[in-house]
Amino acid sequence: MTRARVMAVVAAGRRIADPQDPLGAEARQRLPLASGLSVAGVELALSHHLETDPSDDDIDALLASAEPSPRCHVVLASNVCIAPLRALACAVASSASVRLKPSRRDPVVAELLVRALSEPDILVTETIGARSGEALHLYGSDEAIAEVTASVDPEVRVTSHGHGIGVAVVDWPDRRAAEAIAEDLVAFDGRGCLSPRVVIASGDPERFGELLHQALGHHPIARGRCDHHDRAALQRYGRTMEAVGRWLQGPHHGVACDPDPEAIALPPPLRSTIVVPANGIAHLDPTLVTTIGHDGGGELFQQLAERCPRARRAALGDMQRPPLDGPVDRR
Amino acid sequence: MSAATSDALHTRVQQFISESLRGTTREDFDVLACDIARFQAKHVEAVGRLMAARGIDPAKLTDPAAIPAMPTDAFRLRRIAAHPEAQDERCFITSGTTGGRERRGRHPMRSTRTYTHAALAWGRRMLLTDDVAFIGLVADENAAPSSSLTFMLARFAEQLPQQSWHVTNDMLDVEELARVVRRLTTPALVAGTSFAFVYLCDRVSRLPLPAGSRVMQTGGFKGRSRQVDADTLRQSIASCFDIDTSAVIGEYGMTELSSQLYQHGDAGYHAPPWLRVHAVDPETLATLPTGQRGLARFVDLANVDSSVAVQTADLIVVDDDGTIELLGRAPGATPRGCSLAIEHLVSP
Repeated sequence: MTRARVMAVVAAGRRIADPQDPLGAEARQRLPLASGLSVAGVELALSHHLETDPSDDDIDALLASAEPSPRCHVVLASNVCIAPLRALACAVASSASVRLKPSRRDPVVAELLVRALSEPDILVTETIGARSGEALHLYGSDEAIAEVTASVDPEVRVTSHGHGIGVAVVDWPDRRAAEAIAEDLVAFDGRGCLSPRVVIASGDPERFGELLHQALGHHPIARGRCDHHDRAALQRYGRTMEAVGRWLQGPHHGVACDPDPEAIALPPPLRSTIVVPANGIAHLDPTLVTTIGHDGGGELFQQLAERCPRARRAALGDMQRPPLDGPVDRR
Repeated sequence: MSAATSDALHTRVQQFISESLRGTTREDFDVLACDIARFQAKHVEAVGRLMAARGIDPAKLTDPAAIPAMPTDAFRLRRIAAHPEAQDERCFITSGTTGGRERRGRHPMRSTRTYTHAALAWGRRMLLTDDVAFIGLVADENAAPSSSLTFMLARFAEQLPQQSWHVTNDMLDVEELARVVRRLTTPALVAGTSFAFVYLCDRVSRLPLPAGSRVMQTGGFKGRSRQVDADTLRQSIASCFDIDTSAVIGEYGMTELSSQLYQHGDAGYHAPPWLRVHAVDPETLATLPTGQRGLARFVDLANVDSSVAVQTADLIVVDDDGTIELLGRAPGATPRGCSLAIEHLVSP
């Protein structure tokens, strides 16, 4: 029964992924405005990243990760437009009764999934009504999570997924690795907590930074909307990195290089990343790393994996496509 | 680095400071700023990198507006200094937020002579009066040796006949402060951070100061107290100490600078003649005309051994009369969910 609920969510996702389905058409119409992604960015998210084909093993793992609950409440963030599918799959694995509070900025996929399911006890809501003994799954910033957690009954079972970053580790820094990281960075315009905001490259980070700059420059999918604050943040960050290393800015991306980091300054989450050498590993806070992308599991990867035992592992190019085996964030 | 060149620049800046307040300046601000920038381009690696990246030839600099301004974030990522660490007389460190995850900015000083000269010169003009008792609502110099605010206040206090300090282990000792205030026989200068004053006003409704007293209030809140807007805080302070709001003087300073600005009443902040302030466009960092809102860019002649031009993320308007309105901090890139914001540095 529980498995059937999860598979129903996956089936609803398939409808959204399908441009011929009315739900898929509606998603493509609404998401560019709601998510800030370009039309091509939305298409990439729906056709390539929405989890529509999980393996039986993945679903087994997802079910095993769920704790039964009389009702599961879910509070969603807006950074990754397809994230509601996984969040809802985890919620229905926990309970037949689900209340989903989508991001105000981007409610599209959550609303479409619930509409497709058409279940009387799986509803979109604007408020958080979690009661003692019920589950509450929180996605968002650390600050937002702390605020919501403080506002609910202490007997509510809260599971939170806060700030995080993806880290790409490149033991063999060549053009192929750069192109794969570009794929990971282009997805959702680099906003999600799986996005490779930091690249640790063996050899000369500036040389690999140039390769990555080229790969991003050649990527056909345009970045979405950038507002005044976004452009100003990029300008400030770029100027800072010019003083400490290099800043390679393209029309739709930015790559910073710090050859000798004393700390790692995260770039704005706007399809931008920072490349640092091997000693950058020492400057990473392991509790922030949600996923490690790698190009074959070399020495650098081993070093970082030891520091971040709970982070997901993925091949470069697949960092934004984790299996549907539970929450993306396993920290 | 050349200590002799640095010393010569320090001397020129100190002379400029003294002369500019007398209205007898022989040195040209632009020439001195560009000479300092050339020295820094050669001896401060980050300044040299920034100039190279911006395509600026230091030898050809004639206009301080063309000096690439060092973003304050760079002070968190690199040592911005013309001299090695072993020659630091002091290293000022920015205060952190209560979250504490961020790496703090550092401003190393080979010599604090120019800093002290600048602080006292403008402080005497804008804030200090003779024969008042100094009351510090910050930790003293022994407890906070890397605080530029404490350093400045300690130099002020040295000029005055009495001094007392009332913050220990980040806690304001309200009872001891009240005892000191009640025993005052002369006017006082009470100086402290905004959050210290909020803390005090939340606990004490009236603590009258003798007539002629002044209060210097500085800085933001950094999550250490509830936020209070500037006008409300000024009125609360005036009411608590039973002084006129015009006696509550705002100070704006930052670790990355060596000079300060002061505000009397609700008018704009006044910069000293050796500190040039412009608002710049947040997207292009180009200088904006007066009256337009932008990010504060400083050319501070007293920053001899670090970066003479500093770019902040503080929003300001420079009014036609040259005074500066502070409008708070510019927002970063639009935050979205679990994605960390630009302000975070990810060092453990």
